[in-house]
Amino acid sequence: MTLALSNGESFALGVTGYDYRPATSYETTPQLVLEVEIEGILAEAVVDTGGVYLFYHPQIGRRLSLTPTEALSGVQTIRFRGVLVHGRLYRLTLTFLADEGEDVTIQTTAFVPEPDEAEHWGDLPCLLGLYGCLERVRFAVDLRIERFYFGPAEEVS
Amino acid sequence: MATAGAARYPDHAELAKSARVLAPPTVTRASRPLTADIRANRVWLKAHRQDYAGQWIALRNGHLLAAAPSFDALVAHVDETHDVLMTKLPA
Repeated sequence: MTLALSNGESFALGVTGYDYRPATSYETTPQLVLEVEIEGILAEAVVDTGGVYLFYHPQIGRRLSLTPTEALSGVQTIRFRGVLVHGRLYRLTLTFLADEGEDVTIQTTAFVPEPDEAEHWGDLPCLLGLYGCLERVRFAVDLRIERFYFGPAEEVS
Repeated sequence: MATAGAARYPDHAELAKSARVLAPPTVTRASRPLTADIRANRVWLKAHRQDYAGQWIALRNGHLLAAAPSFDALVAHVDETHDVLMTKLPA
């Protein structure tokens, strides 16, 4: 189920399905959209291999009850898809949810936009960037059967 | 850099926070099984995504709990959000 390396070690701990579709209504290129859990809240998230950190949805982010004291000091401004977005950097818990095998939890740097960014956010889901989020995850995609395999890049207990 | 700064000045609270927030991600087995049926949610989304295009929807185990034009309106219709997927469907 979870693939194996030549030494017999499992490539991944879990596998799940995904939706292969444009992330927003104004895009045409399909992307991998997974259902994940972030800080105990289920959400859709795009696998963004060109992105950084976990980008959280500003409206759903309000449900997290985060306090600025948990974040890096001050509001950060990040250029995101050509637009300057204001938000704060937190350490959040992301969980990949398995249809088969085991779930995997990632402690990751997360950018949570300020609440007033919501009106510009549109229908974009959360984004899972490679740098700072997925960089320690071993993952593979089988497009034919729409399966996403995931596990830690290093052996864990 | 944040990690190096925190190691050099271990009593500096802001550097310690920076090191924690910006540390490389850590990956572990999940400590508890999740009860949500995400496969059922996916089946529902594939079947009904177009029917609710442009709306916020709340799903639990493949069953639609509510649909609304805004996130705040959706939350007002959902009493318990545990194991509930809330997402906005592209228009």
